[in-house]
Amino acid sequence: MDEKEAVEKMRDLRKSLETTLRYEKSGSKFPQVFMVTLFAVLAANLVSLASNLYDLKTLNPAMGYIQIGSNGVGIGIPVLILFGVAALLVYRILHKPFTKPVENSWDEYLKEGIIGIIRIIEESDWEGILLSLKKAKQAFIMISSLTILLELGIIFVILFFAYGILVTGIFGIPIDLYVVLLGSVLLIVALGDRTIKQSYIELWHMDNLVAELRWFYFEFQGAGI
Amino acid sequence: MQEFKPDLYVVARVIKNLIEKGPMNKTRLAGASEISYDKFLLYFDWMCLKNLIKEENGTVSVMEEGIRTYNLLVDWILKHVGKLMFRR
Repeated sequence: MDEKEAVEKMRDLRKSLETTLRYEKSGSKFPQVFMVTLFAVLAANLVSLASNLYDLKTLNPAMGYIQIGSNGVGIGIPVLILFGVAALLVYRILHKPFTKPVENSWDEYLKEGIIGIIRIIEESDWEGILLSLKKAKQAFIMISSLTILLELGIIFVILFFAYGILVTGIFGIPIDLYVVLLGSVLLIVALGDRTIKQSYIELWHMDNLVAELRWFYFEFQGAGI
Repeated sequence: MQEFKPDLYVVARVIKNLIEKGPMNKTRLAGASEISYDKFLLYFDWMCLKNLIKEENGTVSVMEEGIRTYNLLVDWILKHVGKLMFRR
């Protein structure tokens, strides 16, 4: 390997690190996500409580008074909209770190070639980078799980209505929630097979990156330079 | 007094300049090494003490030990960066 190749490899290493560390940035937003979710649940409960307590009515110009309490149109639609808005907010919060272009903070140093590489090795907080990678991996698992749960929820709702219209509506068989849930899980596994595989490969790459950096860091420490 | 801890990349930069551009005076070498003259003097004393560089008639030049150390460092970097495996 010559100097030019080494510089290119270090540039790629930083790019790979920056890309992976986006998950850590996304993971650092989990408290915000928790607050949004908590707010949505509380708001939904408040709407439900208020409509039931006061038996509220709303004026619709076309249809006259519509009861929105438990005996009327119901609170399903407002709550669904509320959770829809919450889901959109959560998506925006978690997705934000991935919308920015990948920057390479080592570029300035790498202009100096091998001296720049020495500077990077010497000045980088390797322990900090390794810790951030560990957090990125945890955040990645969390985000992947949330995504799968969200997909499961959407498919469950779609299947629930489809089942209701087709099986219950036509044949008069009552809805079996276990069947709907099982169907949703099977659909997730079938449709998300590629995503699950990709997630596994991504995790493997993250582990590999941590192992390589740890080795590099210990070699540098042990070299007694 | 606190012990002087040199930055490795500055030491390497000083030696590289002397190898590539040849012997030169301290002011020019400090400029080429991109450090202030005051700071350079600290490095200069430390590197002279370690027999990496020497000064003769106001001109600084690199010693055999300096070239050997620099080459060792470069070899270490190239060898270990070359062994790094990750997704590109």
